[in-house]
Amino acid sequence: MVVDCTGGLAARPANLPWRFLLQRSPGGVIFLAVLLVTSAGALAPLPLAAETALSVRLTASAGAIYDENPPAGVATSKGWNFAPGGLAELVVTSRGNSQVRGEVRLGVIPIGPTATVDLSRAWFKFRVPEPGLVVTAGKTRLGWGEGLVFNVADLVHGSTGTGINLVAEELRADATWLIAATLSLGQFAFLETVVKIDIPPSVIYPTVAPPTIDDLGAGARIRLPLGPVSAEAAYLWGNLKHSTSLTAQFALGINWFVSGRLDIPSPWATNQNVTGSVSAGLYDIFPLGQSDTSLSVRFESLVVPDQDPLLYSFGDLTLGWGGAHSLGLRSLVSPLGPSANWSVSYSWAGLQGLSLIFGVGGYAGASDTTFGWGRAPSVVGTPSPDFAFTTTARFVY
Amino acid sequence: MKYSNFVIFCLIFVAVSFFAAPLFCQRAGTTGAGSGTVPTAEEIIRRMQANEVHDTSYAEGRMLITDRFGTRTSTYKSWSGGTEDSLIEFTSAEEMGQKVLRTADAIYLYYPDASEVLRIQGSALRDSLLGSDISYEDMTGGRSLLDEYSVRLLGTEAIDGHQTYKVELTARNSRVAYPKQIIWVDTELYVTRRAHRFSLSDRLLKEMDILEVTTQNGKTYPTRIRLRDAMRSNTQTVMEISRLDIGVRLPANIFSLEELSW
Repeated sequence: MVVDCTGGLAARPANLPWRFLLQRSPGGVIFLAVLLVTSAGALAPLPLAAETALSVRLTASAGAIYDENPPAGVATSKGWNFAPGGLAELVVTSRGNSQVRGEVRLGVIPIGPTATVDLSRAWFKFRVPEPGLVVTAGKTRLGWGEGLVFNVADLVHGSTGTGINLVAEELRADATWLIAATLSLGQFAFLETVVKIDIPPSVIYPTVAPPTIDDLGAGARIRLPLGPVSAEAAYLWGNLKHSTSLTAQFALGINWFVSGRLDIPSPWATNQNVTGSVSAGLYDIFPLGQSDTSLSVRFESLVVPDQDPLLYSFGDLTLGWGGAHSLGLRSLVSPLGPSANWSVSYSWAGLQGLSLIFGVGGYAGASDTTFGWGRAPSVVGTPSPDFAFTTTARFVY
Repeated sequence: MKYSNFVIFCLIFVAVSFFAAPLFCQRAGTTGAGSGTVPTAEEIIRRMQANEVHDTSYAEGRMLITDRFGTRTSTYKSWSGGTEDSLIEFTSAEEMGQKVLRTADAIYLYYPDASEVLRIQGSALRDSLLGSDISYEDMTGGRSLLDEYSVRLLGTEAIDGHQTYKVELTARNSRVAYPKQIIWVDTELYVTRRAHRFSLSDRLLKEMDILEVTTQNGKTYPTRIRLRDAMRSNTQTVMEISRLDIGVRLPANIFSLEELSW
């Protein structure tokens, strides 16, 4: 995952001209396909159009970033840099029918005088009321496990990375190409099977080779209420290993969750080590006073005994007031390092569809630690600024 | 930040909807000032509350939040069943697909971009509902306003041309959000026309006015509700109901994880 303190827009890869996209990247073909689909939707008869919702999300950001150890081959240099960015997303959803739905989300990211495209969502699903079966296909997310940052039970998307952008709108939004069938077993119980294929995002790896059998994964999960506990058991085969997980979510004063995971390599795997990991956390929302003020609290930890360091923690305190203001403090900490990635951000959403976000964040610790000042980038060739001040404007309509 | 904004927005919505909850789906009264018999305060509250809950309902509407910067609008659909279950789906572009499911013992927030379901139990969110007049426990625990408040009829008053009973409610315990309330109940329709909520020091905190009601199939319900925070100037929230179907047959399993993440 790209480490980026600039609102997620400054650390993009090298320029990709439109012609290159159209000639060599599947993104160009996808863009044309989506353009045709959306154009067809615009020309559709009124009853069909009534079931289709079209929205646009425009994001512009600018920031000053300080990079102590910039990677080779990128535009940033050691010291202060200016980091502008932008994103235009077109979201077309079909929500009017109670039996079938779909969504296409296409993002256009300006890079210098050119732009590149990112198909972040492209899915449809349908359901059969009896016996309560939902089939989902396409590029989308499944919400396996619990946890905003550390979620070892997310066997599908693997959301346990420490390379997150703390001021990003979404901490976990990566989607995967998959086919899933979800069978309802009751009000809060279901069985879900999935077959997925991991395709690296073309925006980062534009010349990636076609996926192979090793990129396939298949598994299932079952979620059941066990008294006051919401429990989930999951299994997935993929990347030449068997992964299993157990998750429990419950309330004990406040809301808690804990997940455990075991990865057992297949006989063909190079690495034959069995590994385990645990993530756990708490969260709650506390209304303050008798007006629309609230404090959202979340703490999470990740323990991976076979890694160094073996312990990570994440904290999020967000104060919201007036229906339009929020002040957030987030931190990703390696206590045994010790080092930290931190951010403070203020968001104002006082006008219809418009959000303004001001953030400051950075890294602290020795350069040889996980989140240390001047550490090497976690993703080769990707800028990883040590300090950033960013302003972001977003408009949704 | 988007996640937190959604939570804040949901809090506002839940607070407003709960504030207005006793007003939804009320049936026309059969007696009142016109009958020549003035009911007791207990009868007025009992008759009003007897109209609060319907087996099922489906609604569409919008919420308008106005402050010094202007007005922001969010649209939604909602389904409710009995006293315990409801599902709200936001349909405006900014919150498209976000949902809130309320059940007897938990609130579930669904955020579609992350495909995340947040289950919240035993929280202050559930208990106080940001100070709205009817707490979640009130709605789900089967307790009556008469269990929580002692009531007194203060007389009759005309509110926007409608004759009303003015009833004072004084809390019997500290569990309720407001130690004191005054509500104005329509003498003919048994619809609340106005409500004021006070602090322990008798300071006015919230004002609610019913701007419009609609009678349909012998049942009367509000279609525009305005909520003002007396502690803040130049702000108000208006809930508009554009469609309300009472007693509809709801899809099976609608108050479930399946529907929440649909």
